[in-house]
This record gives sequence, structure tokens and C-alpha cells, in this order.
Amino acid sequence: MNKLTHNFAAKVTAVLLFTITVIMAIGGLIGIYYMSEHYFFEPTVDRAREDIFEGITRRYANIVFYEYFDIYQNDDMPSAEYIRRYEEYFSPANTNFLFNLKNEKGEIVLSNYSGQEIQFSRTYYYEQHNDGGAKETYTIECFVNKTLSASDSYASAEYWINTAYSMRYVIVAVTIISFIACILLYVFLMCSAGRRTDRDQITPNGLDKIPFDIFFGGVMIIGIIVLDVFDTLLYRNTAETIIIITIMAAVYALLFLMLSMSFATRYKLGGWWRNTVIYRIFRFFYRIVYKIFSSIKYLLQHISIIWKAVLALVGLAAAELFIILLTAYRLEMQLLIWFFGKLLLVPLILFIIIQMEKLQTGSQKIASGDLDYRVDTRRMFWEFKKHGENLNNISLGMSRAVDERMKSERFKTELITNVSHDIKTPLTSIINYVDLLNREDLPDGTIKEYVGVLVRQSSRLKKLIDDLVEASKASTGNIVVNSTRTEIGVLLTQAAGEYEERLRSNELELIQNQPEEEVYIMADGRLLWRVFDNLMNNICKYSQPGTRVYLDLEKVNGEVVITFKNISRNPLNISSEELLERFVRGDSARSTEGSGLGLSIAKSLVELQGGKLDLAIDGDLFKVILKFKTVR
Amino acid sequence: MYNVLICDDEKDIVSALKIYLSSENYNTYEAYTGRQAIEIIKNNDIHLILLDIMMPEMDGITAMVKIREEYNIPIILLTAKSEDTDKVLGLNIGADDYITKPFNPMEVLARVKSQLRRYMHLGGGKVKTGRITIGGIELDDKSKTVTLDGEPVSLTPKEYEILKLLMEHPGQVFSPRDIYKRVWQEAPYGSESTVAVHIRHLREKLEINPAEPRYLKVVWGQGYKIEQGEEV
Repeated sequence: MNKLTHNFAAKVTAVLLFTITVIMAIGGLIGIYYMSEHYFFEPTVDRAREDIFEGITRRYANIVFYEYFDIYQNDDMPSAEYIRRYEEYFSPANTNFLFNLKNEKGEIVLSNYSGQEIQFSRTYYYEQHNDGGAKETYTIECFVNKTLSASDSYASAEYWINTAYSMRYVIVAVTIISFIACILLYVFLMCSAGRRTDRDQITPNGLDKIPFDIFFGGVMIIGIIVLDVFDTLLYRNTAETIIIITIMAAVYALLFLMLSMSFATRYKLGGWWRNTVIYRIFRFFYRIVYKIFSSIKYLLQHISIIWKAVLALVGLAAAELFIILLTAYRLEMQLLIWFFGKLLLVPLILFIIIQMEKLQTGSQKIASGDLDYRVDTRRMFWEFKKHGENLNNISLGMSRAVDERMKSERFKTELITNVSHDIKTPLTSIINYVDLLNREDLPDGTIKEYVGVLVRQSSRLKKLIDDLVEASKASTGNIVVNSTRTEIGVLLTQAAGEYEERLRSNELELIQNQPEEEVYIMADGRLLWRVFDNLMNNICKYSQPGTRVYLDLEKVNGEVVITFKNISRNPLNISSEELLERFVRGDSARSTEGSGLGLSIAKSLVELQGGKLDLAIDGDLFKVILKFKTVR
Repeated sequence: MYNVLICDDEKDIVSALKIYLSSENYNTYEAYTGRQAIEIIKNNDIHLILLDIMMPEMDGITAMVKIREEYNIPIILLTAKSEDTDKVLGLNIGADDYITKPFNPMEVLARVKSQLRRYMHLGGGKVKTGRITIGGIELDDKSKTVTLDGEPVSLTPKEYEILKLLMEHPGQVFSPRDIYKRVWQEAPYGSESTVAVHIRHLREKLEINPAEPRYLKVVWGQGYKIEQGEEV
């Protein structure tokens, strides 16, 4: 089938066959129509014969009657030749039609009947105005010769009637078969429309270039004309009309086939409506309207919001003025319009205010650092939507930057951890061998002094590495915080106990002030101890011997404030901000051991637990203030 | 003469440890990978292993799992990993103790000595009446004496009372106030720091590294407790 649809010869054959089948189907249909009209589908042939004979008989009767008046009642007698032909035509040798024409009185005025055996009789009545204007009734008794010895219409009719009667079901069958074949061929031709032997894709031909609606309209108009012609022809049921009708029907069927195939080709190509005049006209107007609208839109989009507002206000004012002028002297009308106008305006203004409020909330959240907040722009309009989207983009960009930052910080921590891990292995060897060297029986003097430096500095290096790892972890929040309810007083007592001896050996006196009641905070005890450890360690290292150290615990407005106070041994000519920076130490000479990370670590750890660490320097008085929220 | 196996891929560290251990009259064996360590343990009578975690061929953790399948020898992990999770993993898998790098040689010696004493002398863990044993600490309430890994520890009466209180309730946290009330038998009135000082002294006497105690633990912000020792 696929191959056949591409074959040109097959297509031509199909078109020819289609024409033939259409002719056969239409001819058959007309035939069946005639046959059913003339009772051919009755059980016997007699009824059909009677019907057809009646038609012929009436025709003969008409001729007889009107010719009679033309010939015999006419003042101008026709020629003898004419009369002879008339009489010859109706002589029993030439016709099987037999008649008696009777006048009003029942006298036979004309006859060719001489007592032959007959098979069919009819009587017709005619009215004729005579010279005086009165009506006269004539009667024609018609008969058909039983033997049909003459070869006239009856004889040929008899022959056709018998043939058609015996063939009636064959004709029906042929018609049906032709119909089916015609439909199949039509389908096949639809499939093959647009196909060519040498091409895979659908190829349109010349007909397909005609605008489809014009093509379709043309075929339809021709159809209407053809139907009209049929209508007039159908009453003249002669053989010629049947042939003309059949040919016309066939030609029209071909035309319709072309239309169908053209439609099929266009449909297969897609967008069959594109090549129509109507579509082109619509498209033309659509384009004009679209251009107008898009230029208005462009204009509206590209004027500033101020001009938009001005336009809207001017429009509103103009509308109001118009209404006032229109309803002048009709106060109740004006009031009504005023009322409905406000009814519309108030929700609009409220709506605008709600949007502004939403935007404000969003910007406030973003400003306060909630970068995950998104303004819900789904129900916003105009400039508000744009603004909301801008805000969202800002917060998105910022949270992306923060994420990026976090990632790089984590990477840094990992790097520091890994590097310090690698440093630790050689450092272990150094510490061990320095220690071994120190155990050797060294001569006093420079060598012993040098080894002493090595011992001191290698242990400092060890501390520095540990602090570095911890500082980087604490500052990037890479530490797991297990916050539990912690009694801060107990922790303070524990820390004081831990440092009691070191303080005493540094000639420092610790004075603790804490309230009687138990004060609880949410903190990770271990991390908080590390903070206290660092701070106490600093106090021991940097305090002036012989002074007092204060460790105060106060509860102020739902906050617990812990203050470490001590007197610095060296003058503190450095700001508290600088002290909190990494690697900055109170003694600029850096003579004491320490990494300079202690305070920085303490601050990070306190912040990780949700607290605050501040420094205060007042002359030689050094204060560290910790603040936490209390819990019950 | 005890046989100690030192296993570390860093040759310098092995030699240094060897010098220290030899000076304390230990017989040493050296291995540089986990595989070598297992070989040596099979062919020799080893009493203690110092095992590094990060080693080529077979790491310390894998080697330890293999060793623990057959032997009950004390294992001390040497590790540059100071992460808490690593320590917990090592101890859970079967280490008796751990030392983080860079280590103090004296601490290594002390821990080796402690493990060996417990392994060689107190391995049976005999239970005697009137005695409380937690890890290497043994408290005899009749003679009011305390021994650590079999060696006597001299404690003051208050220190002894505190230790007894904690050892009688292993795992339970006592606040400084509770301890003061129970030991001094009077109201504290701000004297809780005395308890903290005593605990500090106790830790110095009982722990090899008081900053990282094995038994006498500080629960910061809550109190103190004693635990069965980390090798549990």
C-alpha cells in the first residue's frame, strides 16, 4: 500500500477506476430510483408493466386527441400527406396502441380498434371548448394489443421491462459494490495525496497553491448549479437525461476528488488553513491590532512610574469632571456616583498599602539578616511585583554569597586541620629528641642554654598548632555544641578550684562574688570551660603579682553577666578591639609564651553558645565581660 | 623485663620511643606497618603495643581489630588525630588508652607503666570485701588506703572521703555543694570552691594527665563523677 501510494500509474488508474465506479454507482442509483418508482421491486412484473404502459398509453392518447382536433375539426384542412402519415402511424400494423375516440353523445368519431385481443385498457376523458365556447367532453378508450406484433414503444418497453426486471437485483448488487469500491478508492487516493515516487516527504502540486477557501467555495457553487440542473432534468426521465446526469455526476465527483486530495495534501503538510483568503485577512488584521497593542504596551512600560501616576490621576480627575458635568443639577445621582467611586477606590488603595506593607516586612527581614525570607510576589501587581522580585534577588544573591563564604571558611578549617596534622608528626620527633638531648649530660653554658630554648620553643609550637586548629574551628562554627542547662555558679566554682594553685603561685588572690540563688544558662559545659580556662590562663600569665583578681557573677534583666577583672602587669597601650584580633598579644614584646589566640577563641566559643564577650580596659584594669541569657 | 612493641611508620618516632623505653628497662620490638606488627606479635611474647593509627599498608585501627581477635595485650594508640570522635572510635574498638601527638615522653612512660602493671598484676580483678575497684583504682575502706594500678597513693582524709563518695556511686554526678554537705557535713556557704580544689588535687594524684582524666571526670557546670575507666 505504501509503495502503491507513491506510484503515479497506480494513482492514475485509481482516478480512472474511481470515475468509472462513481458513474456506475450514480447510474445504478438513478436506475434503482426509477425502478422503485415504477414498482419493479414488486413480486411480479405485471405491476411495473402496467405502470409503464399507462405512461405510454397516456402519451398516445394525447397525440390521438390533439391530432384529431388539428386534423379533423380544423377549418384549414392539413395536407393529405399529413393525414396519411397520421393514419399510417396509428394503423394496427405500425402500433400496438388501439383506441376508440368518442364524442359527448358516445358516438365513435375516430377508431383503429377492430376487435383484436387486448391485454391493457384505459379510458381517458378530455374537455374541449367548441366554437360556441361551451364545454364538450370526449372519451378515449385505449387498449394494447395482446400480441405486441408491431415494433413500437410498447414492444421495446416490454423488452426493457423484462430485461430490467430480471436484472433488478444484479443492478442493486452492482451499485452497492461500485459504492464500496468508490469509497475504498477514495480512501486510497486520500492516502496517496501529495505522495511522489521519488520523494519521501509530502509534495504539494499546482492545485494545492490555490487558496483553499476559494477552491472549496468554487466546488460548492458548481455543486449547487449541478444539483439545480439535476433537479430540472430528473423530471424528464429519458435515457439522454440519465446519461447527462451520470456524466455530470462523474465530472463533479472528479472535481470533488481533486478538492479532497488537495485538502488531504494540505492536511498532511500541516496548517491546512494557512493558504486561505480568510486566514490571510484575519492574520493581516491581527497583525495590525497586535502592533497597536504592543506599541501601547511598550509606551506604558517605558514611561516612568511618576508619569504613569500622573496619567492615572489626570484620567481620574477628567472622569470625575465628566461625571459632574453630566449629572449637573442632579444631586442624588452625583452622590450615588461619588459613593460607588469611593467603594472602588478604597479597596484599591488598601490593596496597594497591603502590598507596600508586605514589601516593607520583606526588606526588614532581609536587612536584619534573615536571608531565607522570600517576599510572596504571587499576588502582587505592577511595580510592587517588580520591587518584590528585586528584593528576593538581593536576598538570594546575599545568601548565595554567604553560602560561598561558609564553604570557603569550612575549606580553610579543613586545610588548617590537615596541615596541622601533618606538622604534628615531625614536631613529635623534634620534641622527643630535644627532650633526649636535654637528658644528656650536657656541659653547662651555651649548649645547655640553647637546648633550653629548643625545649621551650618546641612546646610553644605545639600549643600554637593546637590553638590554631581550635581557633579556626571556633570562628567558623565547626564545633558541635551540645547545649544543656548548666549552672553557671558551679562552673565558676569549678574553674576557681582548678586555678587555685596557679593563682597562689602567681601571688594572686581570687575574690568570687556570686548570688545565693542558682543561675542557669543554656551552654555546652565543656566549651564554656575552655572559655574560662583561656581567660583564667591569661589572668595567671598577665596579672601583676600581689594584686586581687575578681570573678563576679550577676543577674541583670534576665541576663547573667560574668566579669573577670585583673590588674595587668604591663601597661595596656592597646585597644580592646585589637586585643580580640588573632595573634595579637597584650605584651608587644611577646616575651611570654602564648599563641595570641586565646581571647579570639574564647570570643568565638562564647558566640557559638549564643553569648557575648566584651573587653574593657581602664588603665591597668583589664575586664572581660561575658553575657548569657538565663533560663529557668 | 617486659616486651613492648612500638609500631609507627615514622622511624624517628619509633627510635625516640625506643630510647625512652629502653632507659626504663623495657625490651622493645619495632614495626613500621600494621602487617609487621601482627607478624611480630605472632612470633614473640609481647606484653604491650604502642600503635600509630595512620600507617601505610595496614592502618592502626585495622591492625588493632586483627590483634584483638586473638590477643588481650594492652594497646595504647598513638595518634595525631586529636578529634574526640577518633578517640571514642579507638577506645570502642579495643584500645586501652591513647596518646595524642605531639606527646610528652614522660606521659608515654607513665601510661605504659600503668597499663603493664594492671595487665600483669591485676589482670584477675579479684573482688575482696570492703573494697571498691574502678579501673586501676582500688579503695580499701578497712585500711583507708587507695592503690592505683597496685601502687599506693597517699590521700588526705577529705580527699579520701570525696573519692569514696564518688566511687560508691560510679557514673553519678555530684555537685560541689552535694560533696561539701556529704563530706564536711555542714552547710557550704560559699565554700564550694574548696571541693573544686580537692578534686583538682585528687586528679593530680590519680590521673596521668589531669587535663584529660580517665577516671575522675569534671562535668562542667554540674559537678564531678567517677567512671569505670574508658576501656569499658
